Amino acid sequence: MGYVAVKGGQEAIANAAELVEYYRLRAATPPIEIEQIRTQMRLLVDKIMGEGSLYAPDHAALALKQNEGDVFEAAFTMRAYRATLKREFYSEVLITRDMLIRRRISAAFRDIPGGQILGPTRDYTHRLFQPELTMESVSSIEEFLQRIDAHIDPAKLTAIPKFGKVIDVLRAEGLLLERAEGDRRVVDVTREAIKFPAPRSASLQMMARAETGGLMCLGYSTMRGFAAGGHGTVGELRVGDVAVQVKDPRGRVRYLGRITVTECEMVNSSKGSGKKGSLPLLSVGYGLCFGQNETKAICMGMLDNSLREPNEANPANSQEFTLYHTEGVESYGFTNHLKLPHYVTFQSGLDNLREAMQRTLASYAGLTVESPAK
Amino acid sequence: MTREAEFAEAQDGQEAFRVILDSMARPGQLRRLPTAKLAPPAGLAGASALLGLCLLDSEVSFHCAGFAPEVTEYLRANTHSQVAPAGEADFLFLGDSSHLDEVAVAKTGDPEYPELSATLVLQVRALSEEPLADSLRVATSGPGVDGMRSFSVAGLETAFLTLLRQTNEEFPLGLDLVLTCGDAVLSLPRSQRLEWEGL
Amino acid sequence: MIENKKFQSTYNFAFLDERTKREIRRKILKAIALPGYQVPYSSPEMPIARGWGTGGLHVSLAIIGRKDVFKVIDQGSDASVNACSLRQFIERMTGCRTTVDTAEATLIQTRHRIPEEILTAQQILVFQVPQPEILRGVERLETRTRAMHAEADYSKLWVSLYEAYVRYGSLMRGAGYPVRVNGRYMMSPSPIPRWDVPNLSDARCLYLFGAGREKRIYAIPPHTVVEPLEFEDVRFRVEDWGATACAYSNARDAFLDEIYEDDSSRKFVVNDSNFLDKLRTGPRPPQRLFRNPQ
Repeated sequence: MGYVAVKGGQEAIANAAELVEYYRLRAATPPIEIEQIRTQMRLLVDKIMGEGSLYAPDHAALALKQNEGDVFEAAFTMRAYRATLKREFYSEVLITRDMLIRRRISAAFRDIPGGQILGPTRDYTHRLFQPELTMESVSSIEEFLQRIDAHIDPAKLTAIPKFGKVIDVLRAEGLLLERAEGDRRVVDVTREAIKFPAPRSASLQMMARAETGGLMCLGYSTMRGFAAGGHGTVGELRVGDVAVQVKDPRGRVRYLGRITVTECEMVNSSKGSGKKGSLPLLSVGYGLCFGQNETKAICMGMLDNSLREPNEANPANSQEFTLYHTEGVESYGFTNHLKLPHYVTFQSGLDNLREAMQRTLASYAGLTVESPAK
Repeated sequence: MTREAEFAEAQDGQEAFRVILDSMARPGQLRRLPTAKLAPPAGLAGASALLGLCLLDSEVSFHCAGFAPEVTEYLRANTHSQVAPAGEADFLFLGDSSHLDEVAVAKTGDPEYPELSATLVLQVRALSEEPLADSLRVATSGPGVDGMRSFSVAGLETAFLTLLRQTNEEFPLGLDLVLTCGDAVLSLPRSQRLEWEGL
Repeated sequence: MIENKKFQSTYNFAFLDERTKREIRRKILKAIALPGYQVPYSSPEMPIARGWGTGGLHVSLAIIGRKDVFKVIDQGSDASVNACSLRQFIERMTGCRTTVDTAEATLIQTRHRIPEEILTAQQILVFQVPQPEILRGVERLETRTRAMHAEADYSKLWVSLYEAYVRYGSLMRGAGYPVRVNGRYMMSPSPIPRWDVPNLSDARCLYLFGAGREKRIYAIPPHTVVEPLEFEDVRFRVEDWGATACAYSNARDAFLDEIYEDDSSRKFVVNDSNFLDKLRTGPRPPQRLFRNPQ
């Protein structure tokens, strides 16, 4: 043992790292460019930025490349990098009403002010394989782009309009439950550990960073009877670019740039204000995440609503259950930590079990217990 | 008012912290902080200044009592920590032990979060493990102390200790005390049982 | 060819930024003032996975200095792959000297064991903790366990021990045995074996505990009373290997690993790798030994 064994462990790690690199490269196919991942795996990049809690498309692309597409490792890489960055400002509130809309729909009404804009979506495509994509070439891509270009009549271009929110219609009619009470503190869970009951800002922040599949699982559970209150209706779903602004040390508001976000306002019947005779006015469950990730935003909205009705029996009605177990980097780490050696803890348990067996056997034989033989 | 440009956070902050850590882990034992580089304003002990530089920043708040305004400005400018009233501050820097009003309102934590409480940094006139003339002889026992440990302190009014003891009877709620004198530091966390005699 | 400057970083000494270090340091001081109480902290992500030692790393990196001599063990072994990984990280980020010699180290980070050799007043032991909440097994909600600690209401824990005794004839707690610190807080000592638990009480060194994933720091100062939970008539007992001795050193009175050879034969070997090295090459290092009650 001693130094030789230590060296052995280090060598093993080095070899393992080299071996996994070998698996990535052994087919000797042309190297994937960061730009290709960023542009042609856009939605995957968006997911990784959201779960990595860092809006940095090139970094997300690199994370995906170096981890051979492992989405948990990629998000983890992003978070680890984010933790090293100096944090100078909190941004001003994003004004999503001023969003440069790409896509904007509502399930609550057939027609809405400004219209239903389907935008870029595969929702209504048929999920059939497109074999022609196996033969894609630079020229076939150019041809496609030229065809799109040909549709655009420069004479008809106008400024992108701003769209009012669908919930404004509901608010104008007095149908929305305005929540004046409740914990309105704005906290940052990356600067202090979350405490329960958590304010809504902490809950939304954790969900914005949450693993999409985890949120989907719990959101789905609300639709199948595993939560009080049901799932609600998509009041509005928007995908587009919003401006990011910060206040400089002198108090002037400065524009930093634009990010793409998905925003969802889920409309649900509330339980009313709780007072007798109150009406089940509509409450808004809110979802916002980086990039185009509609599943995440919709599920966030559903869970924002369901978390307002605490009920230990249902995971989606439990802040602790929902927020702790959709945290992707923590759950990925801990589930996988089972691969670490646990032989000491195991040995301690075996010792207990063996003693218990001795006692049981001895009691059958009518003997008194002596020190356990091994 | 000096900007401590010589204070290198990574190196000096860490070295100072290890002394403070050892001090808090071993109550009643005198330790010396490496204060030579610093030029704190008149009235602020080197150990108090270094403790401030090491532990304060914009995420916490502090309050000064018994000092000239330069001291507050020195700590604020060098750490970007926020000044707060005595009842809200995370760190209270006291120039002497007469400030019982501040101690009486200092935050002692919450039963579920007792760590949300103030740390008192109190300057005294003399501090020694050996007996001193015209001093209080204080004995402390509890976590961090093998049996009982005694030290001598001058410039610490018994009324202060009485108030502290009373406050810390509500353990886990309570206040944690660090005594400073020149470059010397001696800690008495709320876990301690204190007795004193003399004067 | 992409110029990759934008992805590079130079790292601060000990990796963590100074702000995070300060926050952790403040929390450590409060943890010491409240022995056994779990202080919440920010616990930023690290390049090592959650559950693999981020909490231990946070504490070590917040306090380590250039003059420290660092040792890291996992299940008692310096050679364990994850210990090697953590050692490499600390070396890279601090330039500190590292060692396998328990007596030489000033700062030791450990996963689930206390070294057999007595630690001194000049040493700090940092534990990696998977689940800091000793009550989590009997109460899954944090809001409730916070309240239980506030009120010192540990009845559910006592009941679970009693129920295990009724069912199996012993308290059936293996590693991670519940302890009471300074007569106040119930604490999880991390999944150390029962063998190590008596070493927590009245120690010369400082014990710090970091749970990164759960975001809690706690501490046991030196010379603190730490009592494993037991009943008057059902006492706490450490593991007992009877007459079995270590196959390499012939030593007894140390925690033993059970090892199976290729031919499925079994042997027992001293678990603490440095302690075993020393047993095989020189005098037995000083230990604190606990004798089971008769």
